[in-house]
Amino acid sequence: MIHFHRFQLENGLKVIFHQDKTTPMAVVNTLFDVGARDESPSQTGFAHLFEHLMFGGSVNIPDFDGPLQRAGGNSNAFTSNDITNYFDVLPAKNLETALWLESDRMLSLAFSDKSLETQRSVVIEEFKQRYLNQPYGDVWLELRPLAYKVHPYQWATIGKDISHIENAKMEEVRSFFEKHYNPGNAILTIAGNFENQQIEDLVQKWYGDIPGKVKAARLLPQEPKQEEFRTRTLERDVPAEAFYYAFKMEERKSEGYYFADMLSDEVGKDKTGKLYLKLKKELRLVHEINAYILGSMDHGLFVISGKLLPGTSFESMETALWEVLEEFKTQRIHNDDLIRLKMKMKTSRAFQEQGLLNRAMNLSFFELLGDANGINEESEIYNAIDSEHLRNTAQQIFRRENCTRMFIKPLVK
Amino acid sequence: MERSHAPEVQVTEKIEFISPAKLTTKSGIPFYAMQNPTSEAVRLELLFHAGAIYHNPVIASVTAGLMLAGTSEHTMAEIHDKMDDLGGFFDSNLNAEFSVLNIYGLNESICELVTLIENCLYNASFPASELTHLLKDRKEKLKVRMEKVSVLSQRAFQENLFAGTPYGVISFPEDYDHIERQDIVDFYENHYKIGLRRITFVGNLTDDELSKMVGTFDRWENKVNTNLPSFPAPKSGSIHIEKNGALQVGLRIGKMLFDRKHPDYHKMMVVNTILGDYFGSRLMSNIREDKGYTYGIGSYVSENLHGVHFVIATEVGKEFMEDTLVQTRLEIEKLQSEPISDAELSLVKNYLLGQILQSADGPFAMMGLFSSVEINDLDYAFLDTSLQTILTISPEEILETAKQHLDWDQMLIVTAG
Repeated sequence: MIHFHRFQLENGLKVIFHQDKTTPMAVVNTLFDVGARDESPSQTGFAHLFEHLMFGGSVNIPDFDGPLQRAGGNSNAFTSNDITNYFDVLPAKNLETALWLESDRMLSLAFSDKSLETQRSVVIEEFKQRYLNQPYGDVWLELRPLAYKVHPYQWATIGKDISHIENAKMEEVRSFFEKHYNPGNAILTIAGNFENQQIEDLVQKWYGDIPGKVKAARLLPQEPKQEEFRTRTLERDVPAEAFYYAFKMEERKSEGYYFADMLSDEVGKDKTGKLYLKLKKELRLVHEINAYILGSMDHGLFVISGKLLPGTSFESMETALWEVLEEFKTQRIHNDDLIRLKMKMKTSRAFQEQGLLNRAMNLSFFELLGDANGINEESEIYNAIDSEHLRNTAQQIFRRENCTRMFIKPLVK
Repeated sequence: MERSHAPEVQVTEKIEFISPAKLTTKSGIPFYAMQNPTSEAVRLELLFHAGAIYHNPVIASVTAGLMLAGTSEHTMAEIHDKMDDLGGFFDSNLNAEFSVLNIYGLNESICELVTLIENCLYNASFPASELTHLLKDRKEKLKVRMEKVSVLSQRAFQENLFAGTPYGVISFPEDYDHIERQDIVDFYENHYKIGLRRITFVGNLTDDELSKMVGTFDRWENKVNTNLPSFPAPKSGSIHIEKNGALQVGLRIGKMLFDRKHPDYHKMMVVNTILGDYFGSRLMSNIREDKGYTYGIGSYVSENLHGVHFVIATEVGKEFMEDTLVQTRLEIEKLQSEPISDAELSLVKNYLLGQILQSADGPFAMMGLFSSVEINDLDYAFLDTSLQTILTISPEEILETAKQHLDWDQMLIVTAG
């Protein structure tokens, strides 16, 4: 059970405080309800570029990291297709330093030209390092637009094209901030050895005077139901053939999300799972095979990916793969396996809850989903899943017309 | 609201390092136990003298990879099903010196889980078919890894810095074609069964349960000869590995250093932090935050027992490689010639103290800290000295340490791209 105290400021800022009396550290986690899905198709990569600029100085404080480091703390952030999340970890007695820094950058940024120029360049290098200069690194840049025809999930957080970052202008960056960075669009979670009143007072002190704004309505184009098998083959300078099957699955807030999540654990199970045993161990078709979900807020993807062993073919792999998926659609998962899945989830949860930062981040995220207490209800949802749920989910998901397939072949030199 | 002035900052001056209880197996292997009263999460870690230096990297990594691949009684799938029944996870890490096996589970079933896994480890049978499969799979994975400039530069750095020693041996895809099962079995007999160096446990068991668990390991021994040949003269100079079509260059710059018992070790750790081991470091400030040449650059002191070295690592745009080298050299020379300002030094001190406080937060973190000193045959006095050094180090000492131990002419520079 993760306890918390929740309150809201008049400007709309939602605050979660999680007390932990055992730690000398504090966490300040700020989740902004903005991600790559909120970008315009002609300015992709902005949410992520913006995350970098948030460290480039705010309206009253020229440097973000220096003062935090001076207080013994460190900080980082990540951007996904759905959210942008910032976090600081520092000795609890210096909590106020983090609140001072975080509230000032929520108020407004410095918007210095130097910061934009540098971070533009840093993000371009990040684009190269993570997507262009890695074997198979650009798969998702190509797979997303094939799987999503209209929804903004069709681009990755880094952006669909490096030119969008190269051409970003200061006034565009500024208007992105104006639109998405305000108290009503944020969830602040503080964790550490403090008292409720103390946190309420401190948050009021530092965030109370930030002007509130009406939260902009999110009107995203909804992806129409996929009704045809989609496929593409890329030729790249890679050592082995790789394959990606991306099936549409339900959105984060639906029951179906939990079914798909558990199904992916069973399908992707290492050493004892059906895919592993058939394709990797028995038939020796692949040297690697995985199943996982992209837990997106809107309709997400259930992915099966892997790499072929030399001398095997996409055709034989594909035949075997669909045979295994067919078994998940027709046969119920054995009760022993269901119990195993639930046991492993229990262990994973116990380890996740070890970390103060993890707890703070998850509280923010569940509050975004509608209620921070969801963090305490999730295990019940998983425990109630039975083999019939999983079979039905397999029937809904593992259909050719629900599938986008990407093959990557080595270049013929 | 006065927003332009920073709130008062309090410096961390004392950190309490908590020692685990020490038990021993029949053959004298230490078993350290740390209580974790507030959680169900439990970890048991087994540390073996079974790193790559004792044979070759392929033998060492394949042996580690097959530890739970079967016994005469159970197949790999059966073992993993039984582990799953108990909600258990298992993973292994390998470095030059040690093989580390981790068991994760829940307090309610940890005794059963450890009994199960110990039994499988002690009776590991290394089935030939699992070996054949693993060799092929690992070979393919290595081919993929070797497409990365970061990996290419790291491999060449290791191969050259440690040339002529077991630390400098790297593996190639074809090595996986020539492995005999008997070599794996021998390595297991000589480096696992009689190579268990230490056991650590974080969880919430009674004394009785703990001593029973310790007894589970009574049949393991620690008899590995860990004396190593001395290291040849360190190597410097520049090496380039060509990689057609690469957009970035992988860069490694470094040299041999000294171990934790050297009088300059703690001072060197402060110097390393200033230069490249935090977000506000000199290298990050210059090469990323001022010039935008890279997504990240850092410097590190390796955690080996022997062959401890210093290295700067980054991936930079091809067109920025030359200037990155120039700027890196400038930053090192600046550390050697200009005393650090009071403002920067106090920032680094506070930062480091805060990081140590964080690394001692909670039983798992605390056990990590303890493990890192114990493996060097040190105790918490080492960490106390480290705290004292951070609190008292002067600009002159920093300058002298940088001068003495970061001579550019002694650096080995590897580029791949």
